[in-house]
Amino acid sequence: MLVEASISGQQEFVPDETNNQFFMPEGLIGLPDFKKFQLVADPESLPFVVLLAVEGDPIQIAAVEPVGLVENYRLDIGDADVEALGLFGKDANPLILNVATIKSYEPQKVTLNLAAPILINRRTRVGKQVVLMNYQNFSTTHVLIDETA
Amino acid sequence: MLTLSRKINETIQIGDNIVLIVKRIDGDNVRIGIEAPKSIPIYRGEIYEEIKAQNLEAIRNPQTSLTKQNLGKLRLAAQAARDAAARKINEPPQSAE
Repeated sequence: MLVEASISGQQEFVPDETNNQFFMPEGLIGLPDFKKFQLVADPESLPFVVLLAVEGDPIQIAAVEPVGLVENYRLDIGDADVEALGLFGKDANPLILNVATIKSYEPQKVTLNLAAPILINRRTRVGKQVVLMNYQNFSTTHVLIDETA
Repeated sequence: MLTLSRKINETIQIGDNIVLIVKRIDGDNVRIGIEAPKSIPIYRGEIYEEIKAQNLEAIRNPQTSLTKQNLGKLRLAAQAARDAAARKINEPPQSAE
């Protein structure tokens, strides 16, 4: 299944403060113990959001809503993942979040993992970090702003 | 771990619908063909290690918390990246010359 995170398909994420938890049955890749997260989407830091682990150690992970941020970001999602997340019909438009690695708070020191986004079914709030079928087209360390550009 | 010896063009059948074929051997390079249903994800093993490493690096504990102020600094950068992406989309490649 192809999902496009492009300007033309722009759908701004609207934070919903009353119901902002989501569940990742498999956790993040390499971090299977953290399954329940709270999504903190402060209007002053969007498109950056923070994922807070709700159970266990209170870890935090920064992520970015990539819509419009990365050109030609077309996500090819495998059948098994479409199935696992129930991305059918009205639910075919998941929330897309890319894990951000922040070495320091300078744009050149921030990288995004485009190859394996976190996809969240907006209705069921079930999420999964998915390795895209076309992962080879994208970097796991995409620099937010390339100073040479 | 099960280990099997195979020659070129010999196969390994896994379950009912997955077949691995040794296509070519060239020094320490082996080309393997995989026939499997589309529903089964197939990736080079390294990608998982790469993603794992990125996730572990991305984790913050509360001591170095991702404050609103800190993320706010990146908001502008994200806006700039968004503008740059929009420009690239709007400019046909030919006119970039």
